[in-house]
Amino acid sequence: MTGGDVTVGGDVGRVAPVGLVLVAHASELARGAASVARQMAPDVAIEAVGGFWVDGLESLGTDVDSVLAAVSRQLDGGRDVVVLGDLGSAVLTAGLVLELLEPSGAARVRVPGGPFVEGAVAAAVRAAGGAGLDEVAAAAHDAASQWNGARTAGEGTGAEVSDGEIPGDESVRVTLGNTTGLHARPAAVLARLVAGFDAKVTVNAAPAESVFELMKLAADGGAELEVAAVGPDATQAREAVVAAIASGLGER
Amino acid sequence: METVVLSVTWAIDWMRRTAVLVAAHRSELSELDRKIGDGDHGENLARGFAAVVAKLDAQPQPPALVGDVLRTAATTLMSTVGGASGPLYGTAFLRASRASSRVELDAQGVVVLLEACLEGVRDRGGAQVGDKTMLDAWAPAAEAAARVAAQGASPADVLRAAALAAREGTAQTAQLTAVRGRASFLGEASVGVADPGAASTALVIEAAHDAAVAAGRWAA
Repeated sequence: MTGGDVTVGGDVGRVAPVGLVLVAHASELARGAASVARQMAPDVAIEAVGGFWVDGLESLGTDVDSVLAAVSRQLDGGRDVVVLGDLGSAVLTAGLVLELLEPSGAARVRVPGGPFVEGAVAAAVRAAGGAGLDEVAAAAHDAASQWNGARTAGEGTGAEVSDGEIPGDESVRVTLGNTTGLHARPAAVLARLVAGFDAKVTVNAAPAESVFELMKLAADGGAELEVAAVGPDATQAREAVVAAIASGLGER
Repeated sequence: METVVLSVTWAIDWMRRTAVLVAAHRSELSELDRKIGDGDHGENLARGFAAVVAKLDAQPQPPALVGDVLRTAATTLMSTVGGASGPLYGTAFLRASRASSRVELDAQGVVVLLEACLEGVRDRGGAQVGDKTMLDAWAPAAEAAARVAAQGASPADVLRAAALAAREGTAQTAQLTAVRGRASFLGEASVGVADPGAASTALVIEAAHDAAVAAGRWAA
């Protein structure tokens, strides 16, 4: 994973203030999802909890005690927690854990519901950018929207960026510098990059802080992308994003 | 019979009888679950309630309050029942324990207990009546209990009404289409099979009634 080197604006090596607990019916599933999410966001504390043990043997299910322990470890580490489950009963287990926690702890935990793998990745990337609890939870929940249809590269035009309407709102066109296009890993690099700026950045009108909105652009290598930004750091953010896209987002 | 209140001894006996009843219907519950779920409901619950009994047996002193017994049941079920029924029964008994911090329960206390279970299951699962879940047994049970208690019935008669209503509610789930849990993936194909969670709920309440009848015999 090259993302750690590419992170700009984030504090590399610092653990994000929001951690994740991924709860699945099988430990392999939980660990696998955690690995995928960690690859995108190495600085986020992610706990994988899966399976249900009877007499030392794993069977399919979720275990309230293990989930409670994992959530408590995150809270004790000073991190707020987003819990994601793979199937209904994992979500029920997470809800019960909320009920078992002290109110002061429960107030720092969210169980947003959302697709397991996509939600984990979206939440991890958002958390890596230093986002707060509700924002990370929303990222997991909103990850379901990626099945609502893909945007196409080039769909966003300069007109959509509404020249001059908001101060600092200018768009710049840039050619995507890697060969494989804006797939998950480079999208995550980009999302983490913009999180470091006090600015709202869009790429072909897609919000750049959302790894899935970026992936929905389905931009191939060499695609021409329109970058716009508004906010106090708009200029610096846009320049950083343009430079990162041109250089291939850590890929060739 | 009318003077009987339900004590901590009743609560412990309720758990014992539930363990026996669920174990006796283990295959039947798992068979229902095999048709519309993952087929382990009977095994999971039998294991869970056996663990509850073992936990109660291992306590050096009998608990002081009815709610203490139910809290032991709640935490043990959470840790020993996999699947959705662990958190659902865990929450039901956790809420019931909070609502029963008393030495003994009268008829109204039984109603409060059942309503707490109902509320717990509803909050945890987010289902509504008619969704083909255990709520379709808890809801009519709590309703029947409140109705009968308002007429001045004894705790045992309140539980009898609740158990019958839960059984009737379970039978009716066979006509329903599942919209919650893994059974919902079957859609219309779930029609014709009763909900296993409702079926086990009916057994749990039946055991509560059996224990209340036994308590009345001892008192007589």
